[in-house]
Amino acid sequence: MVQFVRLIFSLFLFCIIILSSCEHEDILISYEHDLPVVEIEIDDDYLWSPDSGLYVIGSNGAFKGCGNSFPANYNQKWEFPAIVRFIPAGEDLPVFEERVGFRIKGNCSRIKAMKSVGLYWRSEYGNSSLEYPLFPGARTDRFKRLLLRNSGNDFGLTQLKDAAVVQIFKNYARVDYQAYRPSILYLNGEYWGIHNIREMITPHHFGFNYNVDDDLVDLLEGSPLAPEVDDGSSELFLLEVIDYIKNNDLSDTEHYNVIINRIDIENFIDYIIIETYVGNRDWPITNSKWWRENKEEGQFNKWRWVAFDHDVAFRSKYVKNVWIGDLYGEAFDSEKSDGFFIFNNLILNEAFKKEFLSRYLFFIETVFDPDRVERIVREIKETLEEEYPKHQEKWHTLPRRQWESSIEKIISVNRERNEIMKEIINALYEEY
Amino acid sequence: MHCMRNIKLLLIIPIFLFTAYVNAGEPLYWLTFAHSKYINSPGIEACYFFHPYLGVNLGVGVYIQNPDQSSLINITHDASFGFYNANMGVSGYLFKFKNHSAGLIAGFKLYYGPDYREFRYYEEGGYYIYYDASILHPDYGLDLGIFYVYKKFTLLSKWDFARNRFRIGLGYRFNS
Repeated sequence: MVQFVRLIFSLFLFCIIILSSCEHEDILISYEHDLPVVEIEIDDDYLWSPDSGLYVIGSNGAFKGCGNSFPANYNQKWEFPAIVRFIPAGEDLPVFEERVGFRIKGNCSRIKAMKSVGLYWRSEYGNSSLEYPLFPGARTDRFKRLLLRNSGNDFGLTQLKDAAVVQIFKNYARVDYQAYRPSILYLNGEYWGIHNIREMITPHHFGFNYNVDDDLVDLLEGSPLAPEVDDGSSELFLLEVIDYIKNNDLSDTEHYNVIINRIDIENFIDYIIIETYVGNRDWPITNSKWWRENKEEGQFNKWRWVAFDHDVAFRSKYVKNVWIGDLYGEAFDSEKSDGFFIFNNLILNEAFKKEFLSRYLFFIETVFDPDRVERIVREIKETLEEEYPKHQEKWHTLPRRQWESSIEKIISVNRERNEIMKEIINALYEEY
Repeated sequence: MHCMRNIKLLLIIPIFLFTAYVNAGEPLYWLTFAHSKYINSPGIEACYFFHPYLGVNLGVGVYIQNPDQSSLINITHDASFGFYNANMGVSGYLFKFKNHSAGLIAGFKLYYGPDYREFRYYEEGGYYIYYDASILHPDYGLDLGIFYVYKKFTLLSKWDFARNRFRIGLGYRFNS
């Protein structure tokens, strides 16, 4: 009898535990958002059909590598018409409604459940560009291309890493970057989670931001030794920069001066500092873009680099990897060494080396100051905090506590990185 | 969320206190199986009683997946076969009566593998779209089960809170 009672009681407890498994009760669902809302309307077939659905693997796909052995519709460069509306936080009505082209964007992050969306303004849909101050404080209010970014390889983790890196350096660094504003996407009326609104790096971006002629923009990416052409031509870059460096010793001031008339050296220094300091493992070669306006005597005639996609930055695993080319003597991935070709030749010049190390120290002490970084990262986190439970529920991303600790990791890794880099760069500077 | 976690823990403790009053058992081994959308998961589970009243259990499962790509948003784990989950915990008999006995298993379960979930209904196609909710990050949670032994044969039924999945097992009891 006693055993029977024990059994019944234990089964009772067991059932209670099973019934308590409904985690949905624990999440407060709110239909008000602290972030602006982007609404997109698009034909369902353009999203879900096996033949033409952009959001599915489907049956009409293309290969893209990235570790997947199957072709997928979302790898296709298809563009379909859609309507986009933007509703600022706290408001009920959209401040603009536009007809646009809808694409899936991103490189390997397309394989994520939540995908990055590209919005294309074209005259065939309606307006050829958008005029709205989407990014407060930005240089431009005009856009032809926008990204609703899924946070790339950081999707499901912090959801803010690249945005945080940009917010950290943007007021100091002389580099180009994509402006950032977090938003909530509703796709065909359905909650779609936190998407980061970003500028897309295209000639139009430089046209609007720097008032250059976008038809004259040369935009290159990949390896500097064999760049892929996004727009314009790579011919003069290869001839005037790469071949010149190959055939001349940059330790000679005369040759160095030729190169600094062809590349924006201040931009290049800051760019290298940012990418190496944050330990961007998904760089160089990948996520490397540079551009210029091909116009003699133009203000932007020198090659300038764009710092973007820092989704794998500040990883504790790589906090001790210095990766500043040949300057510190620590080998980078051999397959990525071409990405350091220009830098490894520039450091042969004493003036460059001095400027580089001095500027690096400035970044360590000012831009990446641990308290400053902590404040910026926490500010971004606070803007997402209210929204995160719904996003988490939608996409089954990290539970809130783990999400918070993954963000705290950025702060703690920066503290450690700051000390490590300070010691190394100081030593190199004193050596010099 | 935290409140619910604490309640679960509070409920687990008396189960172990209860099991402390019952007799020792012999080693138990099960071949287990679980099924979820696009996934079959065979596995093995074992209980070893190191103490007259208490034992430890360990289990591991693999996944064999065959997803329908036309209706999927993503596949995180590309391979058709791989490590799926593992669990460890404690176990104890609740009662023994002639050839019948039963007990409880409770522990910790960890998943690292695909997790296909219903995403939305595609009206034009007349079917559901699914997505792989796993993000190359482990899911973990409580793992609870009950086993029944008749002579040498034993059945296991478990539920885990890591992904809210059910697993059954068919096994054998060895004499200690």
